[in-house]
Amino acid sequence: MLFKTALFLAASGSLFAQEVHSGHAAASWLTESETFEPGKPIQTAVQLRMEPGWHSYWLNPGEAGMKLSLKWDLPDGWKASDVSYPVPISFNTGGLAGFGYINEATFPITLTPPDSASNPSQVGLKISWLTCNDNACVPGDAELTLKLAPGTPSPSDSAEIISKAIAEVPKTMDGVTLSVSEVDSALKLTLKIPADSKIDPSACEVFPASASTVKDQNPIRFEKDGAEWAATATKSDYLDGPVKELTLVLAGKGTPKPIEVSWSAN
Amino acid sequence: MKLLKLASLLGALALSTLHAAEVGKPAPAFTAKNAKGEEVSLADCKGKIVVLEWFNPDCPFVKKHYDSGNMQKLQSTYTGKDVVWMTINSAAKGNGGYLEGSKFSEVATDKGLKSSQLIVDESGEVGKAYNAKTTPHLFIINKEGTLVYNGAVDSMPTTDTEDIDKADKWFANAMDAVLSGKSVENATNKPYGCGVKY
Repeated sequence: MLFKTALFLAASGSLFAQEVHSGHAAASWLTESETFEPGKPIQTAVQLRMEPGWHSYWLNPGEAGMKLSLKWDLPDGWKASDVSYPVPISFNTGGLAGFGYINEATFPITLTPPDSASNPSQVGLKISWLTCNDNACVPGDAELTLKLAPGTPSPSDSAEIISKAIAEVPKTMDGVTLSVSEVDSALKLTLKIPADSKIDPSACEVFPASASTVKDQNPIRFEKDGAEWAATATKSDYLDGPVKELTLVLAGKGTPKPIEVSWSAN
Repeated sequence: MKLLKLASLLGALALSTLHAAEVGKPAPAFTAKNAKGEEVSLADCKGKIVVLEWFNPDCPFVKKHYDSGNMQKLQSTYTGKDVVWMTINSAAKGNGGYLEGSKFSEVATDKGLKSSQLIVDESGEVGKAYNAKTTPHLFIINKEGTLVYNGAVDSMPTTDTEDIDKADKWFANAMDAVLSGKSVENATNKPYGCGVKY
């Protein structure tokens, strides 16, 4: 009995967040608090640690690869947000452009218990990923669980990691807008930013979050164009009909915080 | 003037390589060795529908379609309708999933491949002519020698075999359209998988 209790503590304690090794990465699920209040969202995050030489993939994986796949086992009435992706790096593997992560990446997820939640609850998540190196691709998956009990939330040892990860997720910013027009086989991108912002788009790394819209291998660079910023992107070979939507992520030295900006026709 | 001519000639050349394998255009000709070491030429398949399937035994996306039996089923369905199906490995020697001829035959027997030909393209010549990007990546050439499909097996870019039934069957739909003389919808789409390992 004592042993069983100890095991339960080890598995649920954030210090000992269970890490599941599979393929060439290891996954663990962190929570900001082991306790929850009914109806109040809890921040959690899945952490993926890649073996040296291996990378995993962003939301737009690029020309090959695969984004994360999540399957939920939620207690009645519980809700899980979409997984958020931190800013990726770009790489080239065997001539194919890709976006993703090396070493370690933390993906925030918000859980919301129902207003009626009053019992200890176990939330289950099966997460699958793909890791590749220059020579091979190997998938991995992990069945992760969080055991949460009703009570006043108190920060776990992972709370700081999670809030840092949330800050690293690109977010929309007031006054930052994108417009896109087609000029032959190219896309003309126009970016507006508030005059008083500390953003320099020409010093930003730009990532296309929309798959199959622009050619992933051609970097996008914004340049000052009067009061606005302009860039040219190459249309993807797989764009079916006129461009309808484009989401970009701007990150790096040119911006204090990573920015997400979206455009859609109409 | 001369310079201008040369420049436009170079431009045209660049353009022709860029669009080497474009849907609606003649499929690039090739001659390559099969797993038995015999020469196989696209020209020999004149008058027949030809499928080119890029393959790498180590790729989890390829495994998805072979472990489930999906690819073998497609192969046997269409080779049963007089289609020439070429399974091509363009991995370079020393790269993951490279197979020399006899090893390729062994793997094909082991996995129960039903293709008409196993092509050893270790130089990557055929793959680059078609700009094959991933394994799997599928192309269909009609009886007139025109490329009519360039894309994925289906609509779900995952490694999970459970997704095969849920996905839109882009390649199979294209094959059925070609076989019944209809035009192919979604004829160019983004293939999903691992890199070819040229």
